[in-house]
Amino acid sequence: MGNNEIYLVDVTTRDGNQSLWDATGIKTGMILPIAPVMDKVGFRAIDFTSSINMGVSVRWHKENPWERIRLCAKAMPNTILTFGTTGRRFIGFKRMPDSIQALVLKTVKACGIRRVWILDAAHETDLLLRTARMAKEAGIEEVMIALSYSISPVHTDEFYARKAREVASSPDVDIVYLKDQGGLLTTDRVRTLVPVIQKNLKGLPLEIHSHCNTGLATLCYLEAMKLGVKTFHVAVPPLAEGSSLPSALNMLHNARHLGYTVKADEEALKAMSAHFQMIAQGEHRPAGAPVEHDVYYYKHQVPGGMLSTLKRQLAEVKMENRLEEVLEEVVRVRQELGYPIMVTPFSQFVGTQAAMNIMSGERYKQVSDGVLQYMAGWFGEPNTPIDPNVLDKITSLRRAKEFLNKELAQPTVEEIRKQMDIGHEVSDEEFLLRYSMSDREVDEMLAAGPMKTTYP
Amino acid sequence: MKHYSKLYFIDQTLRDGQQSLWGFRMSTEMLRPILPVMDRVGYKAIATVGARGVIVTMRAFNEDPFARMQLLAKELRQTPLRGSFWAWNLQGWDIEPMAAIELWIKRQVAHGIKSFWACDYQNLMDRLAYLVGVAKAEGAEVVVGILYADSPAHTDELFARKMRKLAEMGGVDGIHLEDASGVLTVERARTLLPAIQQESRGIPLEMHAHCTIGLAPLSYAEAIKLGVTTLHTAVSPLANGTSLPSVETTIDNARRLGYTTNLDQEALKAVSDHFRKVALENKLLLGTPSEYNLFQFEHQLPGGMMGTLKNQLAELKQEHRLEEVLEEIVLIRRELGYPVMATPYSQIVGSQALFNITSGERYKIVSDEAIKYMLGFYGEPDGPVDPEAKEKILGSPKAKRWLKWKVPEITVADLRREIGPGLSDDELLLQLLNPQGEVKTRLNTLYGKN
Repeated sequence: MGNNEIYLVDVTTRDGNQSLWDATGIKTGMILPIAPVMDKVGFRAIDFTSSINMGVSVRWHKENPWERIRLCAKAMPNTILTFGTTGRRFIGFKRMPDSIQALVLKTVKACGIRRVWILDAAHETDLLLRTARMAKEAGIEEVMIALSYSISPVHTDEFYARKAREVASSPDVDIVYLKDQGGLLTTDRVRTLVPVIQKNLKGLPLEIHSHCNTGLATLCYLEAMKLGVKTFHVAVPPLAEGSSLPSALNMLHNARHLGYTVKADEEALKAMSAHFQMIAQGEHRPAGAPVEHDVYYYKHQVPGGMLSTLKRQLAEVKMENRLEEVLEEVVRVRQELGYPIMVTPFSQFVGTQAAMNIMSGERYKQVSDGVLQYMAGWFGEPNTPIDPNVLDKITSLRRAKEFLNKELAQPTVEEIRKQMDIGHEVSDEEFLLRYSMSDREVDEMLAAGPMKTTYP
Repeated sequence: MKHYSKLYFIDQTLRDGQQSLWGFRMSTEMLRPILPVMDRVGYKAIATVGARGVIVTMRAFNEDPFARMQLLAKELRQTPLRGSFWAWNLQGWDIEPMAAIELWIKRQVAHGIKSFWACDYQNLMDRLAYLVGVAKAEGAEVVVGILYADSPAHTDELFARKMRKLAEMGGVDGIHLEDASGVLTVERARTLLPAIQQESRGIPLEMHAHCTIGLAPLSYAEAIKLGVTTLHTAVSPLANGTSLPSVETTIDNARRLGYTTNLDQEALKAVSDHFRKVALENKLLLGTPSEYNLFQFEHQLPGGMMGTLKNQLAELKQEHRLEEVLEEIVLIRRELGYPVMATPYSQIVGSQALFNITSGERYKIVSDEAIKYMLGFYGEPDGPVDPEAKEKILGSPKAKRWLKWKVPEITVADLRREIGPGLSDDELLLQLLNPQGEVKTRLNTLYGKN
């Protein structure tokens, strides 16, 4: 391992697909034909799946998500495939007990997942380390913890330094990554933030994952490279840039100009890119392209995917002209709810609340269960105390009693199976899907039969 | 630093925008219908094409360039029309007598130009001072360019010295700080702009940066924080790519940073829609943001030049050698003392790189301009030249004839006598801008090139 060597983690099929093709763009048959080439690139790992990705498999593609992992892992025997989790949910926004989390990790491992990233936007150290432990117990080789970047009075360099120190103290954590889901990092902030994180990692490697929403991610990567970061999360065009991550090919060239060598087979990368270009054309999907710098992102911090959802929600009720108001409301709601980081699920909680506040004409008249669970502490402690007036208003809602002052129940898998009347003739894989999704969705997937393994 | 909260815009849609993205292929008919709306936007000035654009327009559309100038001046009632001139010649990249440039300045004013930007490198100060004087005497505003480059020679101190020279020269109404290669970073803007401002004696600064590797919108945001109040932009269909930042996004970002503008948003949208339609109807390129590319810092080619190089290589059936030519440009740029990669230097460096690669021997073939550059006719280079390269260039057999050459001192009367005694000023200028056949030969004799 040369000191000047740079490594790439590929996010094309997971985050690239989610950022640019609303998570629905890539079926298993679109990956398998190119998998041997992807396996040849020499990626440090491939960001392969997550609960959203698996949910889409079932719901949209009628493909068994476990089988998808198995087939692809077999087709890429030399590359580490990754599963991502928040440690609090599986498919959907329902808060799940620890027993389910442990079973999910065991099951993905059995399918061929070797690396897990854990992102808790509340940065609750206990939860992160508990999940890391579960992953290790499930036999996962590499556990990677996200430090999710945000701009707020709370998310200072010191905050991230402390979190880095806390997670690095666990023997179950192998890697930490700086995750800039909103594309908000600037080169100035990289210069202060990356060194304090590195200093507190006790020698653990730091990876970086930044989205291109404001056009700064590539600049931030090169700044991080100069500061000693060795591993970068990238995608191949057409699934790079836009609200996705920097382009692998572009990084390759830029890193070389800085005097680094990149561990990646350029020809294989190009072939992979050409394959997904062909998919983009065949499926009429947009190609990611660099965006203009947009200062407004720094204020509302709404991730790119969320922005398009908000626009669609407003259009559905013919209020598309009020986007600006909703974004202003996002800024307020985020502050009132104690500056949650604008990443799943909090970005949905805040965005939906802001939209409801504007559309109903009265603030917090309607509140989603997600926000109620958040107020009940099920998604970790808010970063700053929730605004007392908002707290009053929400606790007075009838539905609030379902959650407030209630602990999250921790039933065992056996208990849940019994409760749901799912016997042992049903596999863990199918049980987990039935636990998280509707029977109709799972039945439709099963009825669809074996998935296609080729394209077109 | 005093902070101003209001921003002003120089529109480059009709000039750098279409030069960068459409290779000057914007005909008068494409812009005619929208001029009254452009006038309503509230730009501080609207720039129109200079000599090079005029020549392409004449050749591509067979248009009278002065007719376009008159049309623009007539339709843009509230907005000053900005023209341009170079200090080294009227057109092309050789060093030439000043008579034709002087005539060009005067005729532009006669046709309605109220403001100029002088493209200049502050190393031919006598010529510049004279020409600025000509423009001022005609009653026009003169904004002089300081062209940015990233090199060991181009320190903040060097740019401060250039600014001081301009302030001392007098007659300068504004500084057009141009980043033709698009390599000005936010970090550099933070030291460069204050260094220039400190020597500016109150002469206002305008920012003009190309988006080639996506940095310009960032350096604009930084520039306004540092007190720059005038920005060069284009409407979005002709912005980004190798062009300038889009006016729409620049305004949006500025607003978020607490700045305001007086621009009429509705008019702006109509202008944008118009040029988007023109682009689609004529299958012309729409500008989109580009990826960051560190190689740009090494060769610093301006946007248009990359296309020219590719075309030249294709003509020689050597298109596969682009990468080699670019690496050669990096080398020659250093050997020539880091000239700013803009006209005429970018052509001198670019053609030399082509000669070096395609002939198989470095400096075996050299251009007259490269010789003149080494002999100092373009003034003192910004950085030290490599003695070996200088020796090779001046060792060329044809270098001898330039050793004792001087820029001929000729007048407009001389030009008229030789080119066509019966010609009006405009007709004469058209001949000088686009000389063909015998006119070209006679001009070369007059300019001492034969």
